[in-house]
Amino acid sequence: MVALMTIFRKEIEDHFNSWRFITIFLLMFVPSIYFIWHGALGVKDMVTSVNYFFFLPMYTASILDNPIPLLPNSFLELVAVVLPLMGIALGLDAINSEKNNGTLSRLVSQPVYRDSVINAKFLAGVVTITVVMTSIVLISIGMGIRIIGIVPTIEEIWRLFFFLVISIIYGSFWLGLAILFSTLFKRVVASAMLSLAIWLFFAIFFPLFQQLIANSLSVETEQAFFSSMQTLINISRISPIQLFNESMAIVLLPQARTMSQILLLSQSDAADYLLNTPLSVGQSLLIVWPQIIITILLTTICFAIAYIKFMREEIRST
Amino acid sequence: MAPIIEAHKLTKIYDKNKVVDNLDLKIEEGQIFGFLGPNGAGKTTTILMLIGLTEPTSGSAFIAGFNSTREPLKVKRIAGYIPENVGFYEDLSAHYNLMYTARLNGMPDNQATEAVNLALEKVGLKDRAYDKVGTFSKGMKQRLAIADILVKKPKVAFLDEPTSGIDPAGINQMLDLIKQIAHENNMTIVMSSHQLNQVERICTHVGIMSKGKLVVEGALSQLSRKAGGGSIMIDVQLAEVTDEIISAIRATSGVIKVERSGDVLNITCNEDLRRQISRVIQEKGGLVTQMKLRTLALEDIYLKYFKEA
Repeated sequence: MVALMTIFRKEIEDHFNSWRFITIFLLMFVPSIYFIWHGALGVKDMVTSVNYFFFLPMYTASILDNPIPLLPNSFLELVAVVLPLMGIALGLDAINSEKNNGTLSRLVSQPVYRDSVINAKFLAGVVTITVVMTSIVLISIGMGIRIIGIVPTIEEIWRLFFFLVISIIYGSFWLGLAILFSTLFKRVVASAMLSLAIWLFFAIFFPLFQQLIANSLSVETEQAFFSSMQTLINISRISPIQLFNESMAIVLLPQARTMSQILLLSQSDAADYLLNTPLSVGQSLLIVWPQIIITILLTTICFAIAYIKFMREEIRST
Repeated sequence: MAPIIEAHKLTKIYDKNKVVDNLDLKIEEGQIFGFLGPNGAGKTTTILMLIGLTEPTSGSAFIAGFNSTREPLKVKRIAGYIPENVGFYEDLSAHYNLMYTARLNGMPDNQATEAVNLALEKVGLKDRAYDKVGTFSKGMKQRLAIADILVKKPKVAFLDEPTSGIDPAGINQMLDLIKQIAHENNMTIVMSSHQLNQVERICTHVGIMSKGKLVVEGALSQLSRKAGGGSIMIDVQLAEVTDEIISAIRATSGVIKVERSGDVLNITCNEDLRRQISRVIQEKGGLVTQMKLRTLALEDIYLKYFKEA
């Protein structure tokens, strides 16, 4: 336990002192503040109209009316795209750089359980992500109160809390993926490139493919359209980014439903009523529960493979 | 007293390749044990198995009575290890690197600071304590590795090629340092190397490995006698050599052979007869200017065993 805390402490210090982290942090922090500021100004104009939630829309408000394709257009989209980069940056050379520098064999020859090393590294990454996300959310709440002039309701605070938790899980998935590659590959360049390639694929190419498939869907009968839409949605859920976007949209927008639900409900007579009534926090969470569980599962799988590989391999200095 | 390091039939097989083959080894406390052998003889693998970083295919290793495979944490608490090509966190200071070691060994911070400062002073890196290790030369890093061991103060230290890649002056400094810390802290040291003269300089005991087997092992002095076929060579330099002296020495019991080269007599005998020989020379009116027991150099031993192996 002492050893785990010692390694954890060093890793945290390393993260907060590294240029890599500071760069990614700025890349995330500065646009976040801009997006929220912009969102808050937009919300301020709406305050006069009759609306139930004032605070949350600033997180999902679009910056541009005609968004540039593939570029984030709201705070939420920004987090979906940039937070993975932070997870990757924190984990991309976790194990292999220590191997290459010959520090790992010195480390494991100290009275340390070998799993403490990988556990502490993962934990330090998760805590770093938590610190970053919490600070951004707290600052955004302050900005919101200052600009809009309204205090968030208890319900909105709960929703923000769940936003925080889910984004930490999401960031941890990318961290776990990066750590996995850093145990599998000897060269830092190889592991970093692979993590980034996966990120690039899901952030940019995957939505493109989705679009292509959607265009080729048969729309002859309503029934055929609904079933092929459903298939498309299911396919899209292999993307962690898609899972995050879906769950976040629900958590931050009380009126929101998942695409499949909209499809289902829109066939009902009371569609308008059913689709426009805000849900309670619990109900919203219930909708996205599967998405959250799958993200946790993906994270666990990545970490478990990395863990087993690390525990079994032989550590030599040359 | 039980040996502090013990190996029983230690075997390691990589892809059907026997890297270490049924190795038996006993090292007593306080020895400086030189582990010799050509590259690929299995020295590093043996060391890794002894400290529990690698699991043996069969056989067992013990350090101070703890099984290296089953109780690795207990072993790692009392054993220090410096790998070949030792690495430090290059972006962090020497001081921080050592503090990390101290903390990993459960030392409270105030005690750790004291130990680290002492260790850095000992190896002569006190002035560079807060410089990044990335700026250090190879020799300085090797000295930092010794400081790393000093912070931990293990009962047994395993040094894998501690002198590789440093200049001759650095090597001497390094060897003196190793010898010094071993004596001051009553540390048992196992040092692998293929530099025979270095091992000869500081080691009390040596083991020679070849193709995964320990070919020969023992105290340096004993080994040289064994390698010489049981006989002892004594070189005597005289002010003036006369036939009378030579025949008198030949007549001494125990002397096997006397050869003359200039003013030096090479005497082969079956035990240390320096006392008798000098008395004989004196009786015959000769003057001894120099007399020494010739021990077989480690190189001779090494080569001899490699011809056999």
